[in-house]
Amino acid sequence: MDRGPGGSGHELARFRDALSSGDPAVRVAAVLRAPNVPGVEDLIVAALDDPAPDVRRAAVQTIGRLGGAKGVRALMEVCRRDPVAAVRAEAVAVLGRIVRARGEGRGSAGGAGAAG
Amino acid sequence: MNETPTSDAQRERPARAESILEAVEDAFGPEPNRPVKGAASGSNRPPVPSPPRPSVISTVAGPPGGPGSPALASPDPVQRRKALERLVTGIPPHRIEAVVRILLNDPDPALRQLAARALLGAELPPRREAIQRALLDPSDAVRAIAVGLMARSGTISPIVPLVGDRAWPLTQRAAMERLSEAARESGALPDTDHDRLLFAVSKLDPPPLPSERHALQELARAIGVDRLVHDLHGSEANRFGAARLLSAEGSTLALRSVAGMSEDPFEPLRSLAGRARADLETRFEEVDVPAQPRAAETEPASDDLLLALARSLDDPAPTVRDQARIALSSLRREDVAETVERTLRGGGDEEAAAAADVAASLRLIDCAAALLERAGVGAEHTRAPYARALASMSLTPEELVALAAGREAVRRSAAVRVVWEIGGEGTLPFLVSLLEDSVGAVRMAVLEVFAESGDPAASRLALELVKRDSSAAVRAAAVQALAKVEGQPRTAGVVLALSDPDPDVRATAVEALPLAPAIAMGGEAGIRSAADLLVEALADEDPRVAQAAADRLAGLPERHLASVWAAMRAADPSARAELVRQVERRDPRRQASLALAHASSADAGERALAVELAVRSATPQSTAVVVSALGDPDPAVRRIATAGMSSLRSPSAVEALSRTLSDPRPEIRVEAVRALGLIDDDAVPSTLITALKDPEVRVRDTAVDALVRWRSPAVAWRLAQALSSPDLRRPTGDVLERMGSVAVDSLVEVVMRGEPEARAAAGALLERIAGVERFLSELGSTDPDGRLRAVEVLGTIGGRMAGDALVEALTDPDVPVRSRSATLLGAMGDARAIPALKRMFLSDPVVEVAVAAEASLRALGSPPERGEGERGLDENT
Repeated sequence: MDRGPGGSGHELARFRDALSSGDPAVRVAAVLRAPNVPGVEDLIVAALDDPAPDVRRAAVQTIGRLGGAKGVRALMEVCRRDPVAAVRAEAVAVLGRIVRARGEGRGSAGGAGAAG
Repeated sequence: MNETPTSDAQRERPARAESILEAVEDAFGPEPNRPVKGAASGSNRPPVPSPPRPSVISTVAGPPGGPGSPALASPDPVQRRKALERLVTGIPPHRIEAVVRILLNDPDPALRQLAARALLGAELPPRREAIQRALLDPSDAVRAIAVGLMARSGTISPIVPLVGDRAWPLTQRAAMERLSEAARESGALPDTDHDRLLFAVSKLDPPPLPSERHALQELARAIGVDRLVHDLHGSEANRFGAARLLSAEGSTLALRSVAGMSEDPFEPLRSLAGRARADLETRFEEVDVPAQPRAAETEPASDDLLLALARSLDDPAPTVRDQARIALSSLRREDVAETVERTLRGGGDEEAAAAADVAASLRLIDCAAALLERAGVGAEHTRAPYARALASMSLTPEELVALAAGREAVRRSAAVRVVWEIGGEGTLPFLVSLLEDSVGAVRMAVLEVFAESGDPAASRLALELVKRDSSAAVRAAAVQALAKVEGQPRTAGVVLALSDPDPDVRATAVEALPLAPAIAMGGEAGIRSAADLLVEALADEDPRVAQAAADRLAGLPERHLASVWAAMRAADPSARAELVRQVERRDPRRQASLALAHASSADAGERALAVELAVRSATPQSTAVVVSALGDPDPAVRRIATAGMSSLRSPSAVEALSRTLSDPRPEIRVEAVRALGLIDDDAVPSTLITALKDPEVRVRDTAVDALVRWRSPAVAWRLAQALSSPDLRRPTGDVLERMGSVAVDSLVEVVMRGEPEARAAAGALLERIAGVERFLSELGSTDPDGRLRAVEVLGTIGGRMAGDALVEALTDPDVPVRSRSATLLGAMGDARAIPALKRMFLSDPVVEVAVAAEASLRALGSPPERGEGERGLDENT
C-alpha cells in the first residue's frame, strides 16, 4: 500500500491537514481526492458529520468509490439521519450502486444474499 | 434425555393395566435395544423403544364406540392405512388421540410415519409427551417427522441435540431444517439453545460431511453471520461450533472471520482458520478491501443495504424517495424479490414493512404470496403495509382468492381473512369454493367472512354446512352464523342442528334457537314450539346440551312459565337440578310463583316439586306451603316438606313438626326431629325429649344429637327432671352425660330434692361427668349450703372415698351437714363409720344429730348400749 517516497503515512497526514481547513471548498476537494490508504476510511466517515453539506455529500461519493464496511454502514445511517435531502439522496444513490455492484459480482449465482 | 415410557423403569409398573396404552405395554416385555449401524462411538443416545407386536393392534385405536375411528383400530393394516390417508388432509380433534396411538404403537413403521404426517397437518398438535416418545421411535423416518411435530408444538429445545446425532441422519437433517426455520421466524434462537447448537456442531466427529453442508449452510444463514462472528469470541465450544457453521456458510465475510482465528489457542480451530484462508485465496475479490484485523467492522449484508434503500421510500423528501425508487429499480429484479420475500418470511416487523414497501414500489407480484402470509401472521393492526402492497398490485378478486387457496394448510384461514379485508365483496363469489377446503378452519373462516358481509347467500351457505360439513366445529360455527340472520334458513338450520350427532353443535343450536311459538320441523314432525324443543333438549344425554337448554328455559319470558314447569317435571334429577338452579339464579320470585301455583295440585308428584321449589325460594308464602305440606296425604311430599324445614328453620313450623313426630313413617319422624333441632324455639326441647321415647332408634338418636347441640342449662334442667320418668331415664341420662359440665347443677338439684331412683341416676351421672373429687373439695367450702350439697352428692355416689369424707363431715360445725352425714353413712352401710358415729352419739351437743347417729348405728347393726345412750341423753339434757 505504500505510495511512493512519502509513504501512506505521509499521504494520510496531508489529507488530515486538508480536512482541518476552515474553507469548505478545500475540505470538499480533499475528500473527493482522498487517497486509498489505511486509516483514510475513518477520516472519511468522520467527514459525514462535517457541518457543510457539500463536504458530507463529497464524503458520501468517496465512500462509494473506496468502499469499506465502516463507510457503507455509515452511509446507511446517512440515508436515515442526514438533515439535508440532497445528502440523503446522494447516499441512497451510492448505496444503490453498491448493492448493484454486489449483485453483478455474484452474477446469477446467489441473488442478493443474506450476507454480502 | 428423559426416561421414556418404554424404558425398563416404566415397564416395572404393577401388572394391572390402567389404560389401553398400558395394557399394550404390559402385554409386551422389554425388547433389547438394537445396535444402530453407523452410530457415533460414545454418543449418549437415548434407548430405542421397541414397537409393539401386531397381534394387539386391534386395541391401539381405542375401545369400540370410543372416540377413535373404528377403521383406525382395524386389525387389517390396509384398513388402518386407508383410515390414516383420509386423515392426512385434516384430523378432527376427537380423532387425534387415536392417531397418536398408532404413531406410538403400530408395528408398521410406514403406518407410524403416516400417523405422524397426519398429526403434522392437524389443527391441534398432539400431546408433547407423545411427541417425545415419537422422537425415540426405532424408525429414522418417523423420528424425522416427530421433529417437525415438536417444532410445531412450539418447543425447539428437545431437537437441538439431534443436530449432532448422526445415527439418525433423517432426524438430524430435519432438526437442522426446523432450527433454521425457527431462527428465521423469530430472528434468533434463544441463547441457551443457540449455545447447545454450537456445542452439538463442535462435537461432530468427523467434521461436517458433504451431505451435511447444505443444511448447516442454511442453518448458519438463518442464524446470521453477524451473530456467529460474535460467537468467535466465546467459549472454546462456541468458537469452534461457530467457526464450523461459518465455514459451511461459505461467504467471503464468513470465511474471513474464520481465517482471523489463526492465533486461537484451540488447535482444531487454528486448522479450520488455515483452510478458510486457503479457500479465500482461490476467490475473486469483489472489493479491494485491505486485510482486516480480527475485530474489524463487518460488511453489512446486502439485505440490510436493500432495506436501507427501502426505508428511504418513506423519506419526507420527494427527491430522496425518487432516488430510492431509481436505485431499487436499477437492481436485478429477481435479487430484490428474493430479499423481499426472505425478509417478509423471517424479518422483524420493521424490516418486513420496509420490504412490503419495496414490493409495492416495484410491483413485485412474485412476492404476493409472502405478503399474504405475513399479513396473516400478525395482529390486525400490523397488516396495513402488507395489505397496501397487495392492493397496489391490482390483483383481481379471483387472483387474490387463488393466492389464499395456495397457502399451506396452517396459513390458509388467516389468508382468507386478509383477502377478504383487501378485496371486499368482490372476493365472495370466489371464496365460496374454499367452503370445500379440506381444513375446517378455512371453511370456518369463509363462513365468518360471509356472515360479516351481510350477503344474502350467507344463511343459505351456513345451512348447507350445518347439513353436510364433516367437522363439528364448522357445523357449530355455521349455527352461530345462522343465529345472526333472520328467516327460514336460520330456523331450519338450528332445528337440524338440534339433532346433530355432536353435542357441541346441539348445545350451540339450543343457544341459537329462536323463541318462536310455532316452528316447522319439516317432514312429519309437524309444528313445535321453541319451549317444547328446549324441554326436549333438557333431556339430552350430554350435560353440555342439557345445561344450555336449562339456561335458555330459565330465561324464557313469563308467559312461558308453564313450559318451564313442564320441563322441570319431565327432566331427570340432574337436569331438573340444573334448571332449578338456573331459574333461581335468574329470578327467585319465579321459583316461588311456580311453587305456589302447583302446591295444591291433585298430582302428588307436582306437589312434591312445588314443595321443593318452595323450600328453595324461602319466601313467607312459600314457607307456608312447606308447613302445610307437613300434613300432606302423600308420604313423599311430607318427607320433602319435613326435610325442607331443616333449611327453612321457621318457628312457625314447630307445632306442625311436633305433630309429624307421630307420623307412621320413621324416616319422616327422623327428618322432623332433625328440623326441630335446628329451630330456635323454647317449645322445641320438650318436644325433642318426648322423641327420646320413639320406638325407632334412628329417631331417638337424632333427638339425642339435637338435644346435645342445644347444651344449655335450661335444657339440662328439663332433661334432669325427666330422670324421674322410668321410660326416659336412660336416654335423658345419655344426653345429660354428653352435655357434660352444663348438666352438673341440674343433676345436683335432682340429688337434693328428687325421688330416690332419680337421685341414684343423677348421682351416677355426676360421678361420670364431674367425678368424686369435685365434691370432696366442696366439703372445704365456707358455705354451709355448698357443703350440704356436697354431702348429699357424696352420699348418693357412695364408695370408700365418699364414706371417708362423710366421716370427716361428722365434725362439721353446721348441724344439717353433720346430721345428713350421719344419716347418709347409715344408708351407705359403711361399717367403718361405726366408731365415729358412736362418738357423735355420745358427744354431739345437738339432740337431732345424736338421734341421726343413733339411727345410723342401728342401721349398721351396732346400736348404742343402754348406759351410753342414757349418759349421752342426760348430758344433752
